[in-house]
Amino acid sequence: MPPPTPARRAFFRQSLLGLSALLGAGAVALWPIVTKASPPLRPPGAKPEKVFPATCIRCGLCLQACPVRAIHLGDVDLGFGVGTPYIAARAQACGFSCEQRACVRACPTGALDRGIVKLPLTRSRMGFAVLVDPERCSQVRSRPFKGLVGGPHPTGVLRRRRGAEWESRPLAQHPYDLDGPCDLCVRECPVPFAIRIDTPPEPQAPGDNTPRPIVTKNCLGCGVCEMVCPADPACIRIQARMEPPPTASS
Amino acid sequence: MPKAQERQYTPEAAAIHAKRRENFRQRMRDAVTLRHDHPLTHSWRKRRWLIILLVNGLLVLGFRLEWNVLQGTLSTSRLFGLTLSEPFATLQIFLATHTLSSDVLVGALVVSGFYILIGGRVFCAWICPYTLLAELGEMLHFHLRKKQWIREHTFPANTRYWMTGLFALLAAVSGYAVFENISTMAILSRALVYGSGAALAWVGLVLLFEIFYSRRAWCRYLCPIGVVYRLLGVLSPIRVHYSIQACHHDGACRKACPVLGGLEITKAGHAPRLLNRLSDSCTSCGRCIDVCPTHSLKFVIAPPWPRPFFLARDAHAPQTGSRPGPAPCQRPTEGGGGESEAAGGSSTTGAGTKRSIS
Repeated sequence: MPPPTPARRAFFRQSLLGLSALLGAGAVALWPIVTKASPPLRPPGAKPEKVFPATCIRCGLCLQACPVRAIHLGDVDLGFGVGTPYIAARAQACGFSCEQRACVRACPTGALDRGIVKLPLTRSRMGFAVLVDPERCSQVRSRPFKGLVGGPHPTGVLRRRRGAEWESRPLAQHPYDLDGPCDLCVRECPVPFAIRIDTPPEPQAPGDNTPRPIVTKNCLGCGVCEMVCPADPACIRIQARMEPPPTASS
Repeated sequence: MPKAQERQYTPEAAAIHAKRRENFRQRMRDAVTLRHDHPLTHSWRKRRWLIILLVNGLLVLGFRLEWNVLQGTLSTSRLFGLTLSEPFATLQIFLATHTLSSDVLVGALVVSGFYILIGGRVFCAWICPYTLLAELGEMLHFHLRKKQWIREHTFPANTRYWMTGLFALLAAVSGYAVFENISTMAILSRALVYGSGAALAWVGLVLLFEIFYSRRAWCRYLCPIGVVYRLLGVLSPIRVHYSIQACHHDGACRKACPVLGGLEITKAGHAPRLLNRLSDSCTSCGRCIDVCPTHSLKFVIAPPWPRPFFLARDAHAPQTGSRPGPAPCQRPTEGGGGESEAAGGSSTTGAGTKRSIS
């Protein structure tokens, strides 16, 4: 081992600098973990959030399989999940708009678990809808609704089965004209008995018994209610990976 | 690592080396003339860039036009429904989660088999979109170096093996596929297919580092994808071969070669045989073939013997520490260039040769 020359020392210093820069850049990925950011809404059948970014190879084949293009690939704000798929339900909800969960069948890694395809739809839970802002809900305020839903520039598409055919209905071309108070989240929900208009089981405040959307245990978090909510921003939101609370009605 | 003195020369090769020692000066004059007369058509580069654009273009069209030919990204894609997976990403998933879906496993095996057949690091030069970007950056790097605004910095050639180990270890320990977050290839491929993202800033940073500090640093010292393909390529029958018969050892190829020390074998007195298979780190980019005025480098389909594959090594890459001494029939002028390499633990091949001939 020769004695360290200045060139050698400089070389080691540079290498150390380079390595720490590399690790520093990698540590940026820890940001969502450090800030305990809420998990993104994953496509159906996603493995637990702890192993999902490690299992997903970030190829985007799920995205390409989705007929309504609900899935996007995450950017650096997802930390270790950069490049992993998520759903922005307000812009375009999943709504189970395809035959047998096309994204899950497209996934090569099993990050979206192919086992759920053959199981009942109830095993495809992505999250749970929560009425986060009842004060702005048109149902609670007993206001009728007329016009376009989903914000000022709706981009979403409702894709439904009509008989043997699938039918796509862009929200931007489909204004609503409701007679009674708004019940769009109930009307457009694709999951049977997942949401209904009812008086709250436990009044939030004394005397506050106005009917409102009540999410039941059947909710799978497909996001259609969030997408079609006429309030802006939506007053009903999907909480990703949330299981139905024990108090939820059935 | 055998010393150069112990290198086994075939009698034919030894005879040529001995003859060249005699009229060294005349040969060098010839070389410079020849090099100036050699028209640069970059025919291999044209083919290669076309393939890069074709493969990545197919991926883009697979999404944009929903062409069912090649869909996905270079991490994992489907070619007419056949899953193809990048081996190092697959390895990381296995190390991080201890499970692997059969789909990805088969995809990685298919890809590995393909590169075993056509030459390991072929991916690096012919498919990887970052290569195209890095080559453009490299041109700028050369330009700046010519103006003497920047200096080239090199790192030990085996850094990339350590990095591969580091990233594999990080995946196993942290449970995340850490390298996938900084893989310029994956980020770029995703950005191309699905639209840009802030992650592209990282690619830009790496590129700036390569332009201003160290030539092709990502591919040379860091990218484990290339290392995996290099290891797969030891058995490959297709490789650029170097023939000494017409060579003037003027070093144009050494300058062009993107692999650190990839063409040390073309130095006077280094090649042990008449026809020499290049090292397994060769990306088969064909840049040396493009610049060679004597057609001494060409693609050859031949078994990886007589060098047994389990002794696969970068015999001609510069070594740190115990570097092989000057070859027996090397000129002192060239030996001088070699010594400075040993001190820096790296290669300044092009510059060294240029000094000795002008």
